[in-house]
Amino acid sequence: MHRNVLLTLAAGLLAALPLAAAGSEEGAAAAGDEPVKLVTTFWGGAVKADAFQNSADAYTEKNPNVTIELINIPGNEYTNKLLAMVAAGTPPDVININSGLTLQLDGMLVELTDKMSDLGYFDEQRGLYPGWFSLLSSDGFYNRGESLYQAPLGTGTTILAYNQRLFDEAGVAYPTADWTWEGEFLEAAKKLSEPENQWGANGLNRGRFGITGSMPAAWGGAFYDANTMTFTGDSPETLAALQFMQDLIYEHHAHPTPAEQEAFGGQVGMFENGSAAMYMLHTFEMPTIYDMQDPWDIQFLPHGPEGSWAPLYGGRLAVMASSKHQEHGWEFINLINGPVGQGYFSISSGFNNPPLQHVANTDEFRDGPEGAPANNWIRVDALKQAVVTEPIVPNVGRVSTLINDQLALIWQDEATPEEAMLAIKEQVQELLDEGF
Amino acid sequence: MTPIKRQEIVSAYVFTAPWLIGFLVFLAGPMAGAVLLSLYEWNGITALRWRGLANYARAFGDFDFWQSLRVTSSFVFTALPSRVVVALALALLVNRIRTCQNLFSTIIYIPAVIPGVALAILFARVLNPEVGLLNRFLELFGIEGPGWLFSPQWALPGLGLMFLWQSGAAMILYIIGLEAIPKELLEAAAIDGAGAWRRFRRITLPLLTPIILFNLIVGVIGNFQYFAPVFVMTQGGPNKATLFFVFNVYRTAFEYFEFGYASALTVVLFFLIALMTFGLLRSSRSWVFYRGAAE
Repeated sequence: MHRNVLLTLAAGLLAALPLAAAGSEEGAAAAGDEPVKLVTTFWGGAVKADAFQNSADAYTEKNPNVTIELINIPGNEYTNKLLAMVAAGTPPDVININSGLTLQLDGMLVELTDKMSDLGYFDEQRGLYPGWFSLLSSDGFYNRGESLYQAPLGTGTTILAYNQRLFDEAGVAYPTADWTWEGEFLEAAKKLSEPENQWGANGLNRGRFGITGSMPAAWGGAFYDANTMTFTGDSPETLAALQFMQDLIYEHHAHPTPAEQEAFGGQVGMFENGSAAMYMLHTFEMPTIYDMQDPWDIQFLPHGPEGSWAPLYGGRLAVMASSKHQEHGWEFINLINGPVGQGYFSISSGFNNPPLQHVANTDEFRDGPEGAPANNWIRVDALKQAVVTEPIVPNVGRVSTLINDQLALIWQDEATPEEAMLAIKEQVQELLDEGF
Repeated sequence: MTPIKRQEIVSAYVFTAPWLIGFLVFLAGPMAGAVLLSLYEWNGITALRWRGLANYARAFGDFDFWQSLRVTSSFVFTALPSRVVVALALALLVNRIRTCQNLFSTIIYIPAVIPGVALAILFARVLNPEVGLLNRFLELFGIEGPGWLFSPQWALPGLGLMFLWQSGAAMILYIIGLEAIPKELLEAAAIDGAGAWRRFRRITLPLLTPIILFNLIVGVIGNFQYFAPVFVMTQGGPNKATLFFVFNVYRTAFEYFEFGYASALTVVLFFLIALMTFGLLRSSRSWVFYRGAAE
């Protein structure tokens, strides 16, 4: 295992050389040898904390004059603690940033566009996955050439996981990349369902974050029109996608209701305990089921009328403009996104996908760590056609609440998709119209 | 003023100083800060922007404000009186049990000492429409149970049931009150021919009214600050059916980052609680019976 990690790191370092040649060396010492203390805040569990610590150790080894103080703040308190640090005049240097903070910290972050560009982040073949630019954009929808103030940390998507034992027992062929939602997927889900104790599929009834946000794209819809900042949750395409998901639960009984999910183990839990044959698996959930009893594998999400679209989400990092060590801040972020950092954040743990294609496309990551499914590479390639599901829009918090409340009604069969979306259309549009 | 008197006054201030300082710094200060903040627009970082009374005016047109008020009020006016009745009934029952009285009291009191979050997680399972104990129990009588926390119509009654399950603390107070009722009064009434119901209505209940008042006041304050179960179990849903006042304040401040408006809502909450408490105290003159006052 350790050998694999070392090999991975070595291979990654070699792969990074051309990029490093184009700009500064990853993690290289920034100008000056004066003592530097880099305060970095983040939220997350043990895996993420270890990855941060290992990355910090790697950085300080190359830069002996730098010490990195890592502050792990519980996720539900993160935004408020960070706002308090900023308001108190003791902001950190590098921050793990979320959507809420993106709006709050407008004008307080270092622009990273040129730095990322210099190091090949914008390279179509080797740089960031295309969907990432909207994720990094301050207004949610990337316009080529705009300034970016955030860099990636780790990325993820949703893929179709399936329980091979249940498929074999039901005599259903394993999913392929050609499956369609309304064709093979639906048929298989129905065949794999047994009344009240087994469901063909699970994990489609989320909030706007994740697959529920990307499903409309497979039908040619979306919750917003990016160009006009218009709410399009009531478009025929978006409604068709939502209707498909509602029908899967209440007409075909091939997907559990929220109450059944709570009763039978939850989202990923139902897949793990064998009560759901297929599951829309977040890639960051993968390590949690590496030791699952039944054999399982993954496949691309099925196609809708407009193709197969996956959601793209990811953690982001930024350097505070108030930092006296902005250069070190960026170098540390760059190390995290390179083979060294992603060796900890993604490759050895399977927790994230590397945001940079050249880091993700190493054999070690495509194969995955011990316990990863045979088709682990699909989690890498799925990101090629992925959309940001929770873009930054004006009044993002209130808009999210409105949409998620209505989605919950749809998943409860308390409203049709049309009723649910029309009920909030005016209100959401008013909030969008207020602007940033 | 004599030197001794002056010394006593100084001593009093010195000894109460820790509490006074704590009150000023941790209670009065933040309260004054909230009132001040309610007059501004602030997202937690940027400079304050003067809004005057606009945050208060905004509340009148805010659906969430009225919804949270509706939800909280309906809880106060249904769940709280129900708990008074249930707790009193339990106290009367336990009071009549001669053997293992302490054991029964303890069993009924236990839910009151379970941490709110743990209780919420436990009750989410009890109220699960598919496998929850409650719907399984209803099934025994051929009744198909509702969706409880998953249903906009039944989520609030579901929380109400959990609230009733926590009647133990109120019950203990009623038991203490029952123990304090002079036996001779009840015996004299019995000798005069008063039946059990009449003795309860004419002697027991009037002598318990101070405790009922206390429970109501504490209950009103607690209900207006009802938060943990909503946060853990429903997040104000489904469809805002459990959007309690304080949860709405929390969401406004810490999810929408509208600290000025959230402060205005807390000021409104303060006055609502004060008004309800004042109303209860005022009305108590006509229905609360204090033994000392009668003597």
